[in-house]
Amino acid sequence: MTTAIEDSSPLTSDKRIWQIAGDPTLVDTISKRYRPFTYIVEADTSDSLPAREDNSTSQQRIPETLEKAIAVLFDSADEEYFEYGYESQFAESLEMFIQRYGITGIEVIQQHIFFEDVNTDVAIEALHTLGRVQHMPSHSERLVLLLRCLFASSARIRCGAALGLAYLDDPKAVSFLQRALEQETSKSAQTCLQRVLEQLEDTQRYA
Amino acid sequence: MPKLFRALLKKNKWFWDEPLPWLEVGDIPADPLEHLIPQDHKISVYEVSDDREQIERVAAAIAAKRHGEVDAVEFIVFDQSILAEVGIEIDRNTPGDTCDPEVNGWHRDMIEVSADKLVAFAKRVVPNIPSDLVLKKRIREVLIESGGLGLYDWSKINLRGRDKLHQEIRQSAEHNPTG
Repeated sequence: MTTAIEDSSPLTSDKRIWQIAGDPTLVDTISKRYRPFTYIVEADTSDSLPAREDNSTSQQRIPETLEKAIAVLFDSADEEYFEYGYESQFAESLEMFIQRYGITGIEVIQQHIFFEDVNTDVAIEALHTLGRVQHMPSHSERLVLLLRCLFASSARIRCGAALGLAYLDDPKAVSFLQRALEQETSKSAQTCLQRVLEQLEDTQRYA
Repeated sequence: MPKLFRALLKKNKWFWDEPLPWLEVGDIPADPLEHLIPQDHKISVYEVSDDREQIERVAAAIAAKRHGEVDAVEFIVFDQSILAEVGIEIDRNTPGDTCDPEVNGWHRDMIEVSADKLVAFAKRVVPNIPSDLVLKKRIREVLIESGGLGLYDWSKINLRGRDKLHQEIRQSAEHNPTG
């Protein structure tokens, strides 16, 4: 069995433990360049995201083996202890997965964390790893995935996504962080988003 | 009244996603207590002010103690008066063990922490004190700035990239000898 990667419909899986906001004001306009990632709207034309760097399209099919591999990887991380400054086995394996499978790998990860029953701690570690991994060809896809998670229903996931963006250090996230911060209700997540916003504004200033 | 800085080790575990239907009114989830586990009946903290630079310096010194990579430090800062409210004493006699001698002088121990006192303390801070962060990029900048000023005891820096960092600081000092 293979799974077509198509524009994501509103999330309806009962299995998921957190969901990505489908705020219509946020998602009504979608860059054609980001067909697999349909929930991000560019804040304005001067803030447009970079074009995809390969020719893959939303119709690309993902091998079932990759889906299985990522499911095993996420499941095996359930008991891991994620601590600042130490690379977890999960992060190391996820990084290898991204290095090997590139953009397709990012799409598999996205499908898994959006539609499967993923432990929140593991999802957060995945978001940090997505920001930290050194893999330029998938930079745009990782950026968009992290931006999407800024609007997740879980405050911990929103903060995890912001930290991933801090590792990525791409100022294109600034306007999205500002928007996420305006909507943020959790005090800890507000502080988290604010710190990341400050860093990226600095990066933008000195770029 | 001075404030106290407590580093949080586990990533992003201080706050939780509400609502937790099983949680009774006035109670807190137990997960954040992972950050407050005493060792030898003591909880290690640092006395700080509201000065962000001081907080960043403490965070950088703590980050440098790790055996892994330079990374973010998540923490809480709370008013010392909370300890009096829950009957926890402070000991000022044991210096810290970081690479930054001045930071070590700010080290304090919350002592004789019983289970009841720990829970009382957690119930005061967990719902009321948001976590904060010094991000990896800033930690690295502070390490380079403070290291460049000769403030560090490099034998106490455990980071995997310690030698590379030290070299970077030396090169930075050579390019900017006046600081």
